[in-house]
Amino acid sequence: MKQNEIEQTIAQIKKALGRGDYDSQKQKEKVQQMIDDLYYPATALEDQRYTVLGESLYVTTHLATNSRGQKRSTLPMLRASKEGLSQFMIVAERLGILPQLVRDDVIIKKHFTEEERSIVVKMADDIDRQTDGKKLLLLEVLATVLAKNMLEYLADDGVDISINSGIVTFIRGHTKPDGRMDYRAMGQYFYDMRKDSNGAGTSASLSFLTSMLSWTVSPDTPRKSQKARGIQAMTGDDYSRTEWLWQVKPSLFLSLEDATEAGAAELMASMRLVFGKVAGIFQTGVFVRTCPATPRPGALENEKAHSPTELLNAIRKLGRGMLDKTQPDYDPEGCLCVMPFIQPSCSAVAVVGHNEIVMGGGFDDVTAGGGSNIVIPISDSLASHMKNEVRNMKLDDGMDAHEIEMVWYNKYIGMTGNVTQHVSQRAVDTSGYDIESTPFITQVRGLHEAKESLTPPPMIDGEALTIRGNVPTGSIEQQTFINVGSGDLAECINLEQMAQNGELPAGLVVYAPSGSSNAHVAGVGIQWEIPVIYGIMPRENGTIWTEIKGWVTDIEGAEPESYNPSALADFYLEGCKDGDRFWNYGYHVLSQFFHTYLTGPRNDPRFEAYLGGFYTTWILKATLAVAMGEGRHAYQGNKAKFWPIHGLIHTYTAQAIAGDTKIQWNKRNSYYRILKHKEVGLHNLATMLETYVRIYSEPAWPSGSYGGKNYKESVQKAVDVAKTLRLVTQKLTPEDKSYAFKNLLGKVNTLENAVHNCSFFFNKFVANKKWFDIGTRHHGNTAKLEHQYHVLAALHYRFYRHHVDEPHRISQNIYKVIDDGFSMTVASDWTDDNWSSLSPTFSEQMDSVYAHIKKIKSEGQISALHDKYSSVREAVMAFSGKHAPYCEDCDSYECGCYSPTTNPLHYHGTCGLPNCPKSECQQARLANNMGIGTAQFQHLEKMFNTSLHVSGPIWHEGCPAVEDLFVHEKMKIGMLVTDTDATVFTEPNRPEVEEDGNPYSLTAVPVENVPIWTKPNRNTFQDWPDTIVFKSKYDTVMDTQPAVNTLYWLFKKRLDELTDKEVVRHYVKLRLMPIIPTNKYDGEFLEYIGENDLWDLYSLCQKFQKHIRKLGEDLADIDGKQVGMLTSSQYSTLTDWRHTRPQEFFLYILKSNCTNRIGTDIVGSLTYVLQTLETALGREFVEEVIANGK
Amino acid sequence: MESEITSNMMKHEMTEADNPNEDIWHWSEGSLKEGPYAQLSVKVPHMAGGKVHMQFTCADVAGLHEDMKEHLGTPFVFLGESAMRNYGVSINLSVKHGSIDANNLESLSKAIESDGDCFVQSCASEAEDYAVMQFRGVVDGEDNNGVAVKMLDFRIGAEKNRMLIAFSHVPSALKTESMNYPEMRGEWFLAWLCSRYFDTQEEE
Repeated sequence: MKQNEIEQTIAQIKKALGRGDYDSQKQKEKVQQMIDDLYYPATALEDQRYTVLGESLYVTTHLATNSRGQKRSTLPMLRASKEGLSQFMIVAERLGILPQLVRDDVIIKKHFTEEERSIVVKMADDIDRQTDGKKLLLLEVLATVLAKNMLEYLADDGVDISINSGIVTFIRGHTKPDGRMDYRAMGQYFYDMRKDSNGAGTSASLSFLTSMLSWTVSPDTPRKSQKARGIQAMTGDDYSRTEWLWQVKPSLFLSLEDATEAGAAELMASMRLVFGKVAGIFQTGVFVRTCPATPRPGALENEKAHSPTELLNAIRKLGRGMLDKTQPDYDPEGCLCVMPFIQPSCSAVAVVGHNEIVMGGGFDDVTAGGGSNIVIPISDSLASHMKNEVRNMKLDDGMDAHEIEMVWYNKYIGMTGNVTQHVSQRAVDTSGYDIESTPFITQVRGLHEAKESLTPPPMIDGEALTIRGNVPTGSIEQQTFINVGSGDLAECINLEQMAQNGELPAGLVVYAPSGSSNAHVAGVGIQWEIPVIYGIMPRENGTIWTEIKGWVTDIEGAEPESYNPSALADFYLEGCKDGDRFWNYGYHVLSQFFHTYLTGPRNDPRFEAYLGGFYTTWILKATLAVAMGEGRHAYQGNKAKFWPIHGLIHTYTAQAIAGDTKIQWNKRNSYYRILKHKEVGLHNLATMLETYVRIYSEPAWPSGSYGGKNYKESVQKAVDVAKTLRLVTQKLTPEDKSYAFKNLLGKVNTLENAVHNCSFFFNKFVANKKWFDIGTRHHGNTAKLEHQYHVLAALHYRFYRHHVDEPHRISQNIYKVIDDGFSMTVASDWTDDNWSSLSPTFSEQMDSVYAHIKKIKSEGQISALHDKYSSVREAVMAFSGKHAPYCEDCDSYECGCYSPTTNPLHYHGTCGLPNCPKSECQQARLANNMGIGTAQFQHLEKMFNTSLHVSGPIWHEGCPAVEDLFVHEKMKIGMLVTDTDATVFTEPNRPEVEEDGNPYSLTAVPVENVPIWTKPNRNTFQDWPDTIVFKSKYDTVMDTQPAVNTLYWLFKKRLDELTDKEVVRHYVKLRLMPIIPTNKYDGEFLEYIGENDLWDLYSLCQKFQKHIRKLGEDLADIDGKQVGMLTSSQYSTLTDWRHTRPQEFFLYILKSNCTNRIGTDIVGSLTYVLQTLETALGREFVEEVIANGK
Repeated sequence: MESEITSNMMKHEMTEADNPNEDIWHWSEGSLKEGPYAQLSVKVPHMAGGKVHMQFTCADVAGLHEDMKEHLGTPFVFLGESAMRNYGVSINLSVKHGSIDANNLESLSKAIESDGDCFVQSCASEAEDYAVMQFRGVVDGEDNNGVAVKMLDFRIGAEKNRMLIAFSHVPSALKTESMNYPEMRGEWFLAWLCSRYFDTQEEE
């Protein structure tokens, strides 16, 4: 606007205002327009300045976030430019806020020294006072100083550089309706906040020095390299990612210019912005991946770096290599990608849309053909999710087909052994193991040609094809070959160059013995139409290879037939045998491969047949394990109630498997453990299961999930499987065998279904029943693949090392280990000393015993079996928990004179076994052996039963030193722990711990007026010994053993006047008499005492009782707490004697005296006691005792 | 009116079983064995090992089982099996082996054993080593973490023989993927029983 126009406009405004009609809207708008026109230059300049401020400060942050306001997972290089800073400072100076900015800047305040800060503040103040020309010069100098310092700080890991979420929110709040950012408003906000003060709001944490930072390219710009674009797209920055499918690691992209020119400061600033603190990731290592501009199988190498220096060297080396025309890696349009290295557990490749995933060890055993590749079927749903996910990535790479590469993080770094050994062992050996993991996606790769889905192998002449391969021309006569080993990048370079140069020889066949159709060589083969054969060593020239749906054969003119699993029966049976020998908890993960083997394997069908067999035996033994574990409830009638035959089935079956291993009969896991690594044999397994059906069909089980009808159904179905399996092992015609296999599939399916529905039969050691869903419907997500792969890889090793000699198929990642002499390897898990056979005692008699068992009805006796078979005696003896002592009279261990059992193996009926503690059984036995009738039996039994308060014999050595006794108590106190989950208490509040030195006290309680007094001429006047009292916070124990010893010795001294027979006779007579109350002086007992001159001993017992009661009362008065009175030499047994009556003391001491005379315990099962008495005192005496019982 | 027990119990939400099975609620005709009145008893020898095995019987066992079905939706107790018995219900609680509380329970069992009058016969067998637990109300207490909790206060035999069971912090039931039916926490279930049979409140 010219000067005269300005004056004219002002005159018009005055005139309009003078007319006074400015109330009209039209006039008002006109006046406003005139004012705006007048001030336009100044306003426009202001807009521009605010916009520069806003953009300089906020655009870098804005571009680093995605549409959801989250930091992008993949970012380009952050570059620093002094020019950017200069431009910002010029604008700030024009707006008059530069001195405040410099004075109050957060980075300058925090990281500049006092001296540096005062210099730059002074410079900023000086600039304000200079002329325009000088101002620019000084601004340039100040910008240079600040930029230099800023670069130094950027290189320092201690300086925080991050995307501030508060600022991100601020920026997102300034989005215009059209989606563009309102940088002018943001700039003005910054100005307003800083013009008078040191800033407030979001501006306070924002350093103006960040205006020198910018991205080399906008982070959302699609990369040119197809590989880089895949990595960029898979992060989900530009679409909402399905997070349960896989995880994503952040990545930093460098153009080749960045790689060769960027400084260390910029590189480290970029690293920190993308990865956070970098010290940690350098410890694991970062991977610098080369990304070629156009997709190809590739020959460009990757580099790993563990320090900033190594990283800088790596990017320089790779960047320069890719820019060097003379190098094979020349690729000027490519770029580099820096990602944290993922210590691998295993890895996988999935062709998008296919219903399978190929897994391998390490991070590249699939892509680099390292071996141990296993195809795992996935569900339609998972395949569909993967496909949709890739579609959502909008790769726009011109490719119709894609592959995804994934790697699982190794959580077990630092363990001994290799990861497969570690995981597979834990997975199979740990009851209820169910650790899930989500892989990291590392690449989405475009495919030049779509890959065909893997199909089951066709049959040729009744044999399944076992070699995978691709012959693009359908058939080829091999004239020459190249062995590319694993078929990885390096090994394919020459092949690629030959193809590019048109130098491929005629009749060339490429072999990849440890590779699969997912190795790099497969891509080369497809691209250049080269026949590639996988998994075998090269064959002779002249071989004619024909491909049938991804499988190859050297049979000329082969006519494929449909797949028939029975052709692989030998491998299946090998699997059955191993499944038996190496049975363990966790092989339920093989369910899937049992089904694929029968319906159509994707892997080497021999291997899948082996896995199918392994699983079949697993489920059979697992069923037996659960059935036995639940059977433990029934022999004592806790749930069901066993008759003797059921007890024997349970006991015999378990002991036959256990052999020398001790079974804890009441512990469920004990039954499971005996099946581990024990070859039972298919025949025996079928017999045991068949016999075990009786356990769940004959005794009555309560309704509910466990035992009874449901269990019977499951065990019966296992019997059906075992029988069908037994049939398959027999020599059959091919048609019959084929039929038997189909039948087997149906029966295993039925068994699986039954155990699945039986409140999940296997839940005692299989944590997740989803594995059985996976068996038939395949994986619905990626969570269980790592677990399954390691179990499979260990079996893969077993199969290719021990069953077929093809070790080239095995990856070193599966068995390699540091040779430190301690570390475990998969190889050591499969040696023959890891399993054992059944004990010959059982295996030789088993068929006869089970046949005999079959003949015995539910209520029948089992004594004939016991007498006839040594293995039955061994099982029964093992159940009793005691082994037979050597019997001198019989000169054998098998005379039946062994110790009594504590548990009968049945609840109902009579078993006829010699050692059964059930009185009905003893009666039956005695009736047989000694002619004792029912009434007499009951009478005699009362003499020797255990209902008297008597414990084991008192040893004449007496109690060990008192100190030892209290050492035990002290240890007990020291061992007490606090149960933080306890809900049962004896006081509402927790008592405070007393801090008075020792946590216990020891005192001696002297005798108080209860001296020993006995009959004249026989008495000894002496005091009872002092009693030691041990008192702690939690317990008080009184050692009365010395007093008991005194009592015992006085008794002994007196009873020594009598013969053994006289003493035992007194015992058996007195034992039957009723107990008289304290202080009563009549009754049968006292009459006998008087008649037989034993009154002095009874009197002694009365004194002893007084002594004990006095002690107890005194102590109770002292601490108001009950006192445990320790009298037995067994420290764990505390006996409180205070309420014991003199007659009971009398019998107790008398019984002890008898026991010490005879040599063994006089209390126990009647059979045992009578046999003991017979041995000690003769048959005549026993007959006298029996007569006494009549 | 809400009793002191129910007002301090955590809320129970009925959860469906994955595969409901009516059989678990079924007792064959005539198999139920009813007691003369509501009685809670504990097996004394087991207390020495830190285990509290309780039997509860009442005059209408079928009614108790029906109430459990209707109001609780499960008969199963966490880390155990079905609580239902032909005489009523059975509940097991325990404290850690070798803990202070296990030791205290052992001492308590000895004290109870010295008082022969409180013993009764087992509802399930001939054993005569059960002692009656007399419910005295709800008291304030603290658990081993120092957290304030409400406890069921029982006396066994002599007045000094006291057993307290913390319940207010215990959730009613758990249901994990491996469980068909949800499984009740024993403490909560015991509180439920006490609230119904012992916690009689006089109307003001």
